[in-house]
Amino acid sequence: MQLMERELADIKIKAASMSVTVREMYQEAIKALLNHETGLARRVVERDRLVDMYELEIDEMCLKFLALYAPKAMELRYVVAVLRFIVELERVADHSKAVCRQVLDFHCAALLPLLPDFESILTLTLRMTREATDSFFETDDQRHEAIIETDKKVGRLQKSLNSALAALIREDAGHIDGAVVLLNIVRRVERIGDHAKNIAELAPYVATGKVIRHREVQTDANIDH
Amino acid sequence: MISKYRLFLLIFIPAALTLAAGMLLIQQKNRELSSRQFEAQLKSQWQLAALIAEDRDYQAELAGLYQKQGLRITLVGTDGQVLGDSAVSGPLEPHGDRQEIKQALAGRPAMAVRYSRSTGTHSIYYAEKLPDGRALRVAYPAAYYDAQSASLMDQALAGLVFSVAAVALFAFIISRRMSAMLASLSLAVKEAQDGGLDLPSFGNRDLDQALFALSSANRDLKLYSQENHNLRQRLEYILANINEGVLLLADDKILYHNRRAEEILNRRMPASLLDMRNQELMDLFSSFTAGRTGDLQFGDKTIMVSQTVSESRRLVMLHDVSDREKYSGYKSDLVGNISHELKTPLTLIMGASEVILKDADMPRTFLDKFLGAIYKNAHRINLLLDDLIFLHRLERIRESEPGPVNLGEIVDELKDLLGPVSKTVNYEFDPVAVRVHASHLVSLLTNLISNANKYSQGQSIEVQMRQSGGALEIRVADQGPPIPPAEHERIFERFYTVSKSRNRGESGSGLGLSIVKHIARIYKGRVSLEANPGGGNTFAVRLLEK
Repeated sequence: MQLMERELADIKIKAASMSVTVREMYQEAIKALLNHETGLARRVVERDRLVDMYELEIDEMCLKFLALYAPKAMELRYVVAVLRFIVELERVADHSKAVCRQVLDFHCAALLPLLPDFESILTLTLRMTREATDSFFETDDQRHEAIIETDKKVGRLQKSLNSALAALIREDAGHIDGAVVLLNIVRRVERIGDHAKNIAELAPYVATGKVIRHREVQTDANIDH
Repeated sequence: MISKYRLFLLIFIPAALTLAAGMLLIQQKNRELSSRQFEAQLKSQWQLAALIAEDRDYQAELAGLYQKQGLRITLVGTDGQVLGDSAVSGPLEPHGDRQEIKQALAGRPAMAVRYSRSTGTHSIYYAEKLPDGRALRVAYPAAYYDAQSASLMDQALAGLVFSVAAVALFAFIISRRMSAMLASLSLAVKEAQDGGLDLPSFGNRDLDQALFALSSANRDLKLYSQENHNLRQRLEYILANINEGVLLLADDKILYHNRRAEEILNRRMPASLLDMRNQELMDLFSSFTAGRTGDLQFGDKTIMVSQTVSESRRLVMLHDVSDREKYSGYKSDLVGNISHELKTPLTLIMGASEVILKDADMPRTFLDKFLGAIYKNAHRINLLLDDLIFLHRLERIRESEPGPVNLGEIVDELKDLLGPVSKTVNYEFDPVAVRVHASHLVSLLTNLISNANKYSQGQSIEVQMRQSGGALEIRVADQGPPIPPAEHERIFERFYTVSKSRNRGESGSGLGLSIVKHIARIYKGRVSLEANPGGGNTFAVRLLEK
């Protein structure tokens, strides 16, 4: 029993390291983007390998844990949640890497002062990843509602940014390269918000076994977990 | 401790019970013995009577012989007829049906105790067959035997009472002495437990030695634990007050952490790594267990970590170096700013002098223009350096006690110093003396006024100085344009003259407001900037008098 707890804690600690790394990557990607720091962007791109390694390692640990201990209830849900958690994190890291690649390819900071919503979509999604990962480790099943709300706001911001960028292109064809890059970045950022939302939905699952995902298609029959 | 009474009962009850039981046993034996003696006596009386019964004229003689002794002798013929009786002179009914006679005639000697109808008393009989076939019976009245055994009983009872009383006395004396001794022993033990030296002597070498040993051992123990406690307190004090966070880890456990560690990590520390729920903390601790040292990032802090590992324990020292990191950033900014500020006028000076050097026949008007530029820029460098030196001095020194200085004098000095100003400066002040260094006050006001003079587009500047409750309130108001609220804080930073809202045509050293801020800080006061109703800016300074 003692050994089981110990190994579960190992998984948790490793996942925390991965989570901190991914969060830092996204934070640094934002900084690299806003200040056009290519050195920083390059470092973020390199760190993606570390995240991949984390994912493989934690995956292995979880499978081993499931096979060895055949956990029940809360432990089982926790390990299953960790398996999902690391996939989401890995996607966030991938998107951060992609943003940094764009920073390396193209100097897009010049257009940023024209897009007041751009900085707020970045801060919102960064805050979402922070709060979602925190809620996961604290098994806090109260915070997901707020994060889902923020995600909706991010969706609205994306829409307004897209139309602002389209307007820029219409106004001046010279903006087209930068605008395309930024459209791509905005899409990536919005995806990061989605992943953060998915992570936030894991905490209630671990705590109570309730599945928050895709509530609109859930019937009473398959809610029963 | 056992009380005197309990001690008494403890000795007395068992002793008295044993005594009573012993007495009872002896009494029992005595009774047996006396009844056997009585039986033997009866038998010997019988033999005596048998001798006489053989060859005499029985009736008269027997009566004469035994009357006094209370012994009754009866001779019974083989047919059960009474041939003679010593107690009864008349003829008697046949005694053949009497228990003892019946047996005696049958040849068995017999004893019986019963009521005698012939004499009307309780009697004890003994009967046996004589060689000629008749039976001879002797009898004592039972009262005789009863009297004998009653006197025996009385004696025994008297003995018992006497010995119980003796035991009681003995027990009383012993219990008194023992309880007194126990009381003083218990006092002595208590004294010895406290490690005291005032030990009574019990006149017993072993006991005295044992008490002394107990006392000195306790004294040593007390000293040792006191020392231990002191040492512990000192260590606790040191660990609680050093600037380093200290953590002692063993496997998953956090064996010790000091207060500073919690401050640096900004969290209450759980007892075990397994209880952690914060991802940054988990990550940091997994770095510890992975043996990482040096500067580690924790949230927005930089923590310098050093570790010592011995056996299964890991001592981790945390040092918060965020300020150092911040300061080094600030320092490089400052150096960059200063060099930039120096570089600009220097470039202008060099350019102008180069032109003059190259063109020897330059017309006087051009020459004057270039020389003017050189002088103006050299002057600017000079002003900048003056300000820098002054600022440096302000940041460095904790100055002496200032003498009282009259506000009127300060205003006069200011008017002299500022010389002709393009705007009207209106002074309004309390005619009092304040305990503030004159040079500080003049410098502060010059900076604020010339600042307003340079940047404001209005026509007048209002200067107000009021004393209230040990504090000097200074307000310098211009007529705008207003500084945007976003810049209200930053404007006090060094070299912050790059504001878009300010006219860059007038150049300052960029240190003026920074100097104002530092002076306010020396007087534990504050500076603030607010918009005034006249559409301008009011700088408000509050200085606490020294």
